[in-house]
Amino acid sequence: MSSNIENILDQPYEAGFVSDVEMETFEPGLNEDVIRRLSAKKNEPEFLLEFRLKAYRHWLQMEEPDWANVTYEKPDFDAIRYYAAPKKKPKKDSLDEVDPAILEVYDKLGIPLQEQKMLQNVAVDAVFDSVSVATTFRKKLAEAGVIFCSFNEAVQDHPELIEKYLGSVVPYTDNFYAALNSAVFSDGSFVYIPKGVTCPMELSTYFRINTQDTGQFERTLIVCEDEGYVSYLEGCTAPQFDTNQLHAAVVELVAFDNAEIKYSTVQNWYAGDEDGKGGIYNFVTKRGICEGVNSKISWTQVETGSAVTWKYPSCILKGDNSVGEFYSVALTNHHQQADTGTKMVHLGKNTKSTIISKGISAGVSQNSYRGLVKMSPSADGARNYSECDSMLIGDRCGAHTFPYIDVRNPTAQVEHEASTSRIGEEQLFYFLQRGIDEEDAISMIISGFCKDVFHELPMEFAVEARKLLGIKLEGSVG
Amino acid sequence: MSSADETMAKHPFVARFIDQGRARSTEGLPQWWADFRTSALQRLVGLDVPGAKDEEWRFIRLASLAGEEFVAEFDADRQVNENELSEVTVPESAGARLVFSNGQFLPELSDTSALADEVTVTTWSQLREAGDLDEIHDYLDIADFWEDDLFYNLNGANFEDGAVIMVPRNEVVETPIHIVYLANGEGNDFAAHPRNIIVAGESAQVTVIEEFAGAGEGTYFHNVVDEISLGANAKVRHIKVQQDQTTAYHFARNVITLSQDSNYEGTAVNFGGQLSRNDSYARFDGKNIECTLDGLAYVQGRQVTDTHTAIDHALPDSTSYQLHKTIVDDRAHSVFNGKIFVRKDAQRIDSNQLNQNLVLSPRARVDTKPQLEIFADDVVCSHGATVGQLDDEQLFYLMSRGIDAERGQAILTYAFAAEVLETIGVDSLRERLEEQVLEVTSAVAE
Repeated sequence: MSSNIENILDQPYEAGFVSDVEMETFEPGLNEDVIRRLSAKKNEPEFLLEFRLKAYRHWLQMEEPDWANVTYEKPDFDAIRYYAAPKKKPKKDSLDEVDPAILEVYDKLGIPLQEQKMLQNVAVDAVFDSVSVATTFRKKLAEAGVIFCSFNEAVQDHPELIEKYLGSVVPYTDNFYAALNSAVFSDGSFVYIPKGVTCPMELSTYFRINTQDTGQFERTLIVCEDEGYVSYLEGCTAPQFDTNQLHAAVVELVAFDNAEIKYSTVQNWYAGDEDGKGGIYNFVTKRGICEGVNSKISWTQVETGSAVTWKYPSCILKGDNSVGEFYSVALTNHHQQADTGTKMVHLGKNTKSTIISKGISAGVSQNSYRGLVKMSPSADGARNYSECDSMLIGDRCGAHTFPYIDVRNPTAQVEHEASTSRIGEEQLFYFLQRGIDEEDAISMIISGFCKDVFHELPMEFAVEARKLLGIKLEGSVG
Repeated sequence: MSSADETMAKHPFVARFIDQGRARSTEGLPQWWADFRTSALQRLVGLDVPGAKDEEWRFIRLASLAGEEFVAEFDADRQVNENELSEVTVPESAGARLVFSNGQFLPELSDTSALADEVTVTTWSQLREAGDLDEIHDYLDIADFWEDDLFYNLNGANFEDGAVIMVPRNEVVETPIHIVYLANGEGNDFAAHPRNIIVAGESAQVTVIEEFAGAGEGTYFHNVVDEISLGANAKVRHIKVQQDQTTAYHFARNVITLSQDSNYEGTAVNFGGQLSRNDSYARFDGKNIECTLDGLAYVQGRQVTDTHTAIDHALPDSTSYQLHKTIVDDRAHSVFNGKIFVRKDAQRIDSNQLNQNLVLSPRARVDTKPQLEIFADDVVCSHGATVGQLDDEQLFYLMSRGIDAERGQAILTYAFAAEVLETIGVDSLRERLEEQVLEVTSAVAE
């Protein structure tokens, strides 16, 4: 069986092409000058430059963390280009004006912006290397009062909102990579849902790293006012280079009274080749705060790419009765390493959180769940339920579980369960004797294993996620 | 400054123990023991008192311990209050008891007459006097798991006494062997470093009760290391009861190595100490081994108790179980970290771990971190952890049958603890501990 599984797993990376789009880049290296130039290039207001410089100075004092269960060669921060943008300017008003070469890239990735626009009613903000190239459906959203634009545009058009919320959930002092991002972030997405508005469509961003030696440092900020609702999708790919590239993003979510934010990610950055050469370092800080009563933040992630992943989408449940959710599928193969999980910090009364994590390890990969559930003294009647299941495919990989549970309130209830298993011979036999071949059987078993998470994904993402896992595991059964 | 001087200046707590270790007599010490002491002393130089950044210590603070100035155990008064001893008597162990006070052996209160001659039940100090230490050399420092651990090395540099139990091949010891450590701590702040060696030969069977008890208000420090070696098909039942004074410090490292077909069943009961830490490491050196590491901690006032366990499945085809419960009242704080390792190629491992925590007071705190690290695929490993208060529905059920709320709470708390205690096969000990829990829970109810 195992040789066959390996075949499935050996599926080539389909998004690994490089496209020849003319780029404008900075020389590699980082210092205050680079930050000033970056800021000037973007015509940023004074407060933002200050924010960047403070973050940079703080970052210089920090040490790269090494507590995660991953080993990798530390990036050389002076070898990274901190700005890379497609040369064609200025900003487009409609897709027709976007460089056809870029559009072709997205077509190859299976995200035809046009098509999505027409058929799926999804508004897309596409970020190419560091700069947002097109945002579809702008007008339609504006009618509803929703602001959905690139971060740079938001800085120009709504500086008061950026100043108010930037760094309010993830301060620049938060951790090493958040500090770096705060200093050099290039672009990203901004979403603002005004009071009482249910966003009329799902919002979506596709991130793509194209240039060699660039780091991608995008910044996403979503603010959802009272009674608002938004569902946000994020997808990522990168070409195949045999050097490691750094992706250090920061995502901040703010939900006020009765608001709900649903954030879904399908991450398929280039994972390196079979020998672990190349691939993306995915060091991401994602955090949401349920500021208001009855608010809800839900993270759903399907992590299949990256050489090293270091990511803990978290919820701070501050408002009474607020709800935090985390649904995750993390698949690692070959030499991939993932250390991912969540933090649920319960501050308000009767706050609830649910954690469902499914880890699948194959090849010689290492897959870790790391999570924190914290019940503060003020969190009367808070509840948490966590379930972390791991599946091992092959006997050279590892699955690890590191849940931290910290309870300081007697009325809080915490339940945590974890299990580790593999695809049973008997399960496979059952499929085979019903005429389903091994490959399909494994795919179905994995699908079943991840069902609780896939259920949470928006329709088109669920289809994509299932396909992605299928591709990743194709030919791996024996 | 040399690194030795640096340690002295930076960590007077460690330096004091280095001095005490260096000052210990080497008379009658075999070379291997002297060497072991020297290497522990060398390792202590440069070891810090662990802080919050150290993953193994992140939930507790050692500042109060590190601020104490303990005298060596032989400078402490070791008079024993007979009442104290009678309170911890286990009738089943008559004629099979070793008594220590302030870490030093008391031959006059010990009695091993009920045991067969083939079974060695003695102490380091007695063997040293008789010049008969060499047979335990192989059972010292049996695993390098705590090689860089401060407390393991403090013990290595300073231990002079402790129980030595060696059960030869095929010998089944029916009488449970009772090791008692009393502390006469009133104003007498000593540090003792007991080192207990338990060896069960091939197909041997033995039950050992290790009990720490103290009355009064002393801030003494018990820093224990147990080394337990099981031969093929051996069976060891180990019950540890820690009831040191609630002003004292109790630290223990238990190393267990298991050969094929052996069975170790450990239960650790922690009621005492202002700060207690009980760590166990079980290494599987063969196949078809069964290992159980159960625990119960009940802490009140401002007590802090911390239990870390590591079950190391290095080889295939074995089973491990763990049920660890804590009850936390007042402003007390309990910590649990249970690691299960399944190494590469250690297939067909079945490992189950459950940690349950009962929080009785608004200011109590629980930290728990169950942990799985799996490197083999054909395994069934699971862990679970719960933290919460008593179940309202269960309480309602009792009240609907005419039991008042306070009594109902006491019964439910008792029942929570009893699940661990009821596995203790020594009747008088189990009953004593159950009564103790019931007494505390009823007092809480009033």
